[in-house]
Amino acid sequence: MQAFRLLIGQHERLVAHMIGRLVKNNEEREELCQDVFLKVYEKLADFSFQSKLSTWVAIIAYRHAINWMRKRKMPMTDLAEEDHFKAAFVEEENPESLLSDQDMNGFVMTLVDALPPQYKTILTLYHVDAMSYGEIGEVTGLPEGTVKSYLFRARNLLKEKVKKCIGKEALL
Amino acid sequence: MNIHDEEMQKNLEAGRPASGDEVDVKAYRHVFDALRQEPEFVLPHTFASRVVRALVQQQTEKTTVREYVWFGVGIVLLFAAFIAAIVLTGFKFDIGVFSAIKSYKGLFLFAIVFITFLHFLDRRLLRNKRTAN
Repeated sequence: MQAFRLLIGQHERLVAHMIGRLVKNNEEREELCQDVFLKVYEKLADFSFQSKLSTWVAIIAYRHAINWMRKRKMPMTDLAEEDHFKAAFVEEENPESLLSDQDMNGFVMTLVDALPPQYKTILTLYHVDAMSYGEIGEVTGLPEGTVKSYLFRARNLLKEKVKKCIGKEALL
Repeated sequence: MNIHDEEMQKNLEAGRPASGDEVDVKAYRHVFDALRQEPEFVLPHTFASRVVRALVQQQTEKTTVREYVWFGVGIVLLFAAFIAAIVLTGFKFDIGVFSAIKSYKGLFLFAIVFITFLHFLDRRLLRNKRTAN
């Protein structure tokens, strides 16, 4: 148990980042994080050292969160709807349209919350947890090229929205 | 997404100066700064202990279920053995079988008291000790 406690200590940040980005409610977040580690313990014997332990834990966390969202019928934007999503995302008016620089980080994070789960996960794993494209591909089950393209597209979407906001500020 | 955007993202990520539309660069800078920030949600410092506690509880529940299953199997096997013994020995129930008890009243009474006492000790000493561990 002491070793497992150590494993939790080493990976709780990563799991919290992933679950925290996909789930809004704090109590549900904690419960999901706990479920992830219970699953990790249950499947520990299946870990074959073919990837990093952190990647393997992240795979479990990602799948658990996605299944949880599917069970609750939460919106999961499909690739086919992506163009429509992009147009709607950039055009949608936000009440936070005019912001000071210090509010900008919060504003961008609100925008990130509105992105589809795959985008959110990729952005978090890449920028916060410093995972490589390959590792993110393993976690999300997407090819490396797709991960790269999603990452660039997500940042582009966010930029378009922020640009719109900056543009308004400049006009005033 | 166009080539300029891709180039701009690569440069900003590498910390190099990005050329192109000024508003685009400024917007990307805001995006990159925000994305690099650690998310606000943090697990409580007691989280690991809580998970370990839940794990122990889960294992105890599994053990209890297993014990109940074995108990049930035991009872079924006991009945099966009882029936098999009756069938194989051709034993016939007769009130005379119990008439022997009459001569050993004291012994039977002692047996009942002794077994009850053992159960009492088991509950008071052994089970309490196991729960404490």
